[in-house]
Amino acid sequence: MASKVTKTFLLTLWALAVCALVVIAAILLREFLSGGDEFTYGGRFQNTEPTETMETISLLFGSTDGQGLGTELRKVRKKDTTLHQIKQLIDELIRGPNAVLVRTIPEGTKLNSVYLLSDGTLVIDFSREIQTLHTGGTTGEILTVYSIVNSVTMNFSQVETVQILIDGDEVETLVGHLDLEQPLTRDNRWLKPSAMTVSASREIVE
Amino acid sequence: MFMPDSSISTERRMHRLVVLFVAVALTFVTPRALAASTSDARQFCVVVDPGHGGRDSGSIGINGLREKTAVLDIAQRLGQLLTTNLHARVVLTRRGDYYVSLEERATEANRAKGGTPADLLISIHVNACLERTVNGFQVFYASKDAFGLDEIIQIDDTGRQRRVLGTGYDDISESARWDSQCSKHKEANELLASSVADALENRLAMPRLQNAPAVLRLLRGLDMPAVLVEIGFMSNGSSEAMLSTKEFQDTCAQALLEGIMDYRKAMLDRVSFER
Repeated sequence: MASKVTKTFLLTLWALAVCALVVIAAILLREFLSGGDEFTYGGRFQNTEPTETMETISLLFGSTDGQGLGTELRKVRKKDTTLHQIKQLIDELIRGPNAVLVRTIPEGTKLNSVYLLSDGTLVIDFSREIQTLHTGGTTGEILTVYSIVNSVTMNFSQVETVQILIDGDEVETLVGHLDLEQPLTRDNRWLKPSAMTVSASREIVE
Repeated sequence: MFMPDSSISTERRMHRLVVLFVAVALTFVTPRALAASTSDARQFCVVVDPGHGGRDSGSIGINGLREKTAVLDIAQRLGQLLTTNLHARVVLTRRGDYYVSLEERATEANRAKGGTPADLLISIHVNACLERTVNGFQVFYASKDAFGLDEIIQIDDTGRQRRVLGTGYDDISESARWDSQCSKHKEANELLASSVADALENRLAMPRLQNAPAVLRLLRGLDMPAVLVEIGFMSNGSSEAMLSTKEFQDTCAQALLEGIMDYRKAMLDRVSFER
């Protein structure tokens, strides 16, 4: 027969077990609500996205008189690292202008790779289309090259010079005029202060 | 004394004849040879560079006109005018539709005058851009600034002065020295550019776009005054149509000739003024 001590003991044990269960349940509930990884299964319990920051970058495209570069301000989702941000800027240049300015990089050009050297030289490797689909001309070439060089140097102080490669190779020129064998520095001559500065806040859907 | 003397042997006669022959020959040959070499050195030597060629067609108009074809026609016409009007020695960097690299063109120009640099180079192109309404002519030249070749004096911690070029070379290496040849001709480049642009403005019915220095591969290693002329825009329909006509090509060549003549005169005036 159960003595009073045994009964008390069993009761205490039972109470402790219930408490333990309650505590565990509480912990589990808290974990669930905070969206921890442990509770992702079957997509029912999704991680919540960390909050994204937006930023505005300056992109240079051709001015409408064909004689220089105008600025377009564009809002983009801020990337984590400088190199990702640089890559994003070049991708936006390739996408082209949203408004009145003129495209400078041939549509169909791909960005192969980008790397930043310790001396501040940014090496950008484009696909062959930047040459093969280019319309030519010294002016056309200047607008293409300096929309790239001026845009990256304006937005990123770490970039001092830009070296352009085509499918991994050094080239004499882009389309027969500008010297691409040596790293290029920003040339403010091609900036047109009178060219319209457009605020394009349309978010780019990736 | 000059009467044939039968006492002289045949051998001696032959010997005298040979000496006489050689003496006469020398009197004809030597002055001519001397004159030729000095006239080579004195003769005005112009390199005319028709842009692109062969696999590099340059810009192409919507009606199919290729830049490489239009500029060759203008260049050949200019060559004829320079020869006729200035008795210049003209070197074309290409005479047909074939590819010549920019380095080969620059090398040829640097040796065009009997192994030494030509007196000037003019490179002929047709422009293009994505804005089809744009039209006009434009003259480009290389300047020290365009290549970032400003000489700067760096003073290190010990007070030692070091002359460096803006491109980042620590010492003035051989390749930097070669590449900066064009910087010697900064003033002449600008003078040539404005002379040519003024002449084009007089003759051509198209807008004048501002002369500009640029980092042009061809001009980098040239040891002579040089300009790159863009005549019209192949991306512009009316420009393409004009460039297709022999009449317009002749007008362009005539304008370029006049620009070169004005430049020459300005340079001579400058030299005599400085004296």
